[in-house]
Amino acid sequence: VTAVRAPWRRIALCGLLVVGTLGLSACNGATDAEKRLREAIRNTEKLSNTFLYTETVHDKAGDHETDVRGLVEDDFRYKARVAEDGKPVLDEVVSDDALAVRFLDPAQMSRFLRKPVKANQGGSGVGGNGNGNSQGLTTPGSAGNLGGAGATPGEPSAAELLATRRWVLDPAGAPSTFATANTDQTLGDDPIADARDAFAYVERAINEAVRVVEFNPESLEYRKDEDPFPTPAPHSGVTRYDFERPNLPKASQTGGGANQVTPDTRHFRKMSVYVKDKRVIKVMEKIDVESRLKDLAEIYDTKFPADRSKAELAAIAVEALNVIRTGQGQDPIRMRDMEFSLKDLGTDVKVDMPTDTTKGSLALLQNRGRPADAANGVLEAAAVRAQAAARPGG
Amino acid sequence: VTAQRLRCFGAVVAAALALAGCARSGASVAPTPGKAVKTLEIGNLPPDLLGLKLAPENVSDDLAKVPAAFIDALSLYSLRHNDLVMATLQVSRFNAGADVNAEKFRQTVVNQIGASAPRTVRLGASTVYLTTGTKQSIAVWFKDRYLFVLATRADYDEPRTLLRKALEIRP
Repeated sequence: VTAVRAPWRRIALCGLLVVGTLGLSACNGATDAEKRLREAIRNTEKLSNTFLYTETVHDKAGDHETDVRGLVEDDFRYKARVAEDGKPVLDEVVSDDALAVRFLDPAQMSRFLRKPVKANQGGSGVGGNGNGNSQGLTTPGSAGNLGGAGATPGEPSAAELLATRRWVLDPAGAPSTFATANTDQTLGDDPIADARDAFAYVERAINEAVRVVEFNPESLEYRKDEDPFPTPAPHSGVTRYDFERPNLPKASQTGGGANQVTPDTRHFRKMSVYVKDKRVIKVMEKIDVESRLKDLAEIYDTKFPADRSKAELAAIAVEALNVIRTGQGQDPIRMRDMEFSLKDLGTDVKVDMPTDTTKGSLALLQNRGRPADAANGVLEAAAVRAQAAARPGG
Repeated sequence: VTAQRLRCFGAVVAAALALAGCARSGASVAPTPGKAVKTLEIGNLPPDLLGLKLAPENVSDDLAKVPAAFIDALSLYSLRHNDLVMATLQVSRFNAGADVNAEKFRQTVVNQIGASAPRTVRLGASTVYLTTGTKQSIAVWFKDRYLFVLATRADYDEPRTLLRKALEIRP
């Protein structure tokens, strides 16, 4: 019996060694793929471009699509148009410190209004607010009429101009270039900022992934039925890099504190980046909760109703997780599909300010306007909200 | 108060340049003692930038306190609106021992300026590192063997336009 068993043991051992070796080689490959991808990001973010950022959010109320289409001359000069469910909402042009905005659909203004909590979050500054603009917390108090806060007497306020689809130019109102510790920026709050921050978002996603691998449909680990993204066309010169997401945390797992570790966006993220000629041409992301419903049910020892669709169950699960997450002070999981496409890389793109503008303070909009105008911006935003609420059906 | 602030700022950057030597590997040239750092003469400097009067400031006392630096010449300019300093511009020339073209060296220099993690942005053809200080925005960029540091008051209304103008300066 021993003589018969020995060869099988040897074969099994060899098998393990081969698997181990392949595993190690895969680690090296992932590292190289990640380096190549990071280099492609560095190459691309330096270039002027035209872009299209599309985000479709799935929640219990259904699907909502937001598009941001724009062009970037450099990091301080760009223009963008926001559309919601195909309907143009907002145009924004930034040229150094100057910001011009118009609402094509003023009814959608509320999404972009300054939040009432913090008044120290203006735009401008070279790379944020510095760290000395604190004007403390401001409560809206009594919201005046639209012509009140921040307006020159006798002249229409920015809110009034924006409500009539006119351009408003704030010569020093450009948004903070990037999210900083001082900017309260949650994904989805400001779609233009999300689009402009796309590369930083991808870098964070790389950091949060288990590893980055080059797309290989012949890999033993590849599952076509779990792949939501298109395959690069043969001979197109396009390389696709896929992000491998981590397993869900166990229910018993705690972080540094006493809190249970709740699943994060990273645990549901599927992301692929398409690179051609060492430049990023497209990023695709799917926050795929449906594919992890079974794992969630096992980890949290729960049963999802059998009479609901997977999409409905995913929305319910995310809502439940977000209750915990927001209670712990964490950003909610945004169940979304995102696509960020780049064209005209490195071409001679120029951003011109619109000519038919009226000067005014745009501090009523979140993360925009001079920091010194932020307190007035809070008041003006509150007045706009109050008017919208007072309108029939508002 | 203004003079104190200028001196303080000059000392911070000089210290950063002294420490920047940490990133240097196998340099064959010795660092320059602070006392030996000369005043950098920049020809064709405009009298003002964006309406802010440009004036050289004396930081030799602060430099003298630095035992070893990887610059051999430096100038600090104030940019004033009336008498109020709205920004400062420091231009430094690295000495021969500084590996100025190495990204690691540049990152080490940039990481020691400002109070927040630097962010890289592109303005035209230039790469600029943005960081913040107390009540100020700081922009850092490299041009040949020169380092530029533009610090603007946080309440200044046109920091980006000023930065773009400053990028046109060629030592």
